[in-house]
Amino acid sequence: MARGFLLAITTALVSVVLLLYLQTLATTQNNDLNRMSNVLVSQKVLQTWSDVNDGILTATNLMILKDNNTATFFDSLPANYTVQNFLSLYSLFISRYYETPDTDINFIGPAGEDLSNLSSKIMIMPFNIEYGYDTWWKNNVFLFAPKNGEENLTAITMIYLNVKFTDAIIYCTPANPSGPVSCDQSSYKKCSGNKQKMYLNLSFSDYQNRSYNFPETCFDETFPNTETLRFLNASGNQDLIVEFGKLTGATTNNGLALRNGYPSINVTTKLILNTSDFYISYLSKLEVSAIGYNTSMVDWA
Amino acid sequence: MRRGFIFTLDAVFAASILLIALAAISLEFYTPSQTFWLPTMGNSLMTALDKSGVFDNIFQQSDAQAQTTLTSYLASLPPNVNANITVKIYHGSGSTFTLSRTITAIKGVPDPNHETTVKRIFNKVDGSYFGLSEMVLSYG
Repeated sequence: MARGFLLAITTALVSVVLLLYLQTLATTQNNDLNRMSNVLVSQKVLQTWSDVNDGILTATNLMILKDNNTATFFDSLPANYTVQNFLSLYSLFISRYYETPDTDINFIGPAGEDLSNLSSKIMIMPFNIEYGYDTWWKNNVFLFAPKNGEENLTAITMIYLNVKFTDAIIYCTPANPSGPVSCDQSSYKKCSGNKQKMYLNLSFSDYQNRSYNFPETCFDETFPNTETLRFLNASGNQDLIVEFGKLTGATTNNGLALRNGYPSINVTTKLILNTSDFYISYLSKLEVSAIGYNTSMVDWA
Repeated sequence: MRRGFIFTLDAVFAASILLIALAAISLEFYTPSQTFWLPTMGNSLMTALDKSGVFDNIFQQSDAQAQTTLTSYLASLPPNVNANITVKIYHGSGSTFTLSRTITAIKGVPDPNHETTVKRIFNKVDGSYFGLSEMVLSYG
């Protein structure tokens, strides 16, 4: 009798231990699965965002880096093909062949949700300074503060503008001894008195390693300054005109502009600001979200 | 004395069965971790192919050259992983896409019941050709 009782107790205890073990195992396993699935979903969202964004970067040929108080724009001008047509096709390709039922890829922009409406303007906030083009053909590139907000440009303590010709040579002296004119065909006012000042370091180079640095670095921001640099390509002699200070034409803002008429160039615009407390604001955003999960990524970089 | 010996033997036997049962249950429970590593491995390999310019180079290469490169990358996967990668190049015009090339590289045959798929897209700089690469992996 007593032995039967002891055996029953032992069996019950062993069963309880076994059940507790199984329960702990199931809970641990469940937590592990949830964690794994969250990590996998996050990885997928990140990969998808980065994958789609790479295609847009290839098409727009513009990369921006922010580091402490410096913003650098690496740009190639002009566009080799109709960027908007490409973006339209790219958007279709994504929805037909790439997007999976468990992910949602959206473009959010001021002009609608179609990728072909991608905004060609990028803002440096909170200073409201704009970097952008008139169209995605990228024939004209501007960096300016909007009218009545010119004082915001004082947040930029120095602009380094480097223009590199990729298929033309600098054809002016002293960079090119055989050049017919001087590289300094400029019209500018040096900064003086209480006039608004613009600090600009302007340099040019070509694929044969000729280079020319503009001698002045401080200008009157209220004056329409220009520097004209002669280059030579398959079409013959042409001039590259850089405007800075008060811009001409329809855009009467203060800033910096390269207008059409240039050959294929790589332009690096490095802005040194008086603070690191600024951010780059893209007017268009790319959003990737995982359906059924609270995981998404919205950004533009 | 003899009965006590039989009881002890019986207890050891029961404990052994219990331990074997627990071990079997534990092993059964731990298999899902494999499903975690497959997509991670696939994504890593796709990122390597993408960042090292393999996808972009396909536009300039013949199918045979591209296949050789893709096969060499697949060989870097662990021996117990089977995988295949299919790259399709489409030409886009208007709103239609025409499949112009398909390149496939294989390392073993993935198990269709336990396979994982990862994808990448890429495009040619001229703006009219689009690539889609799809990798299917499973443990062999």
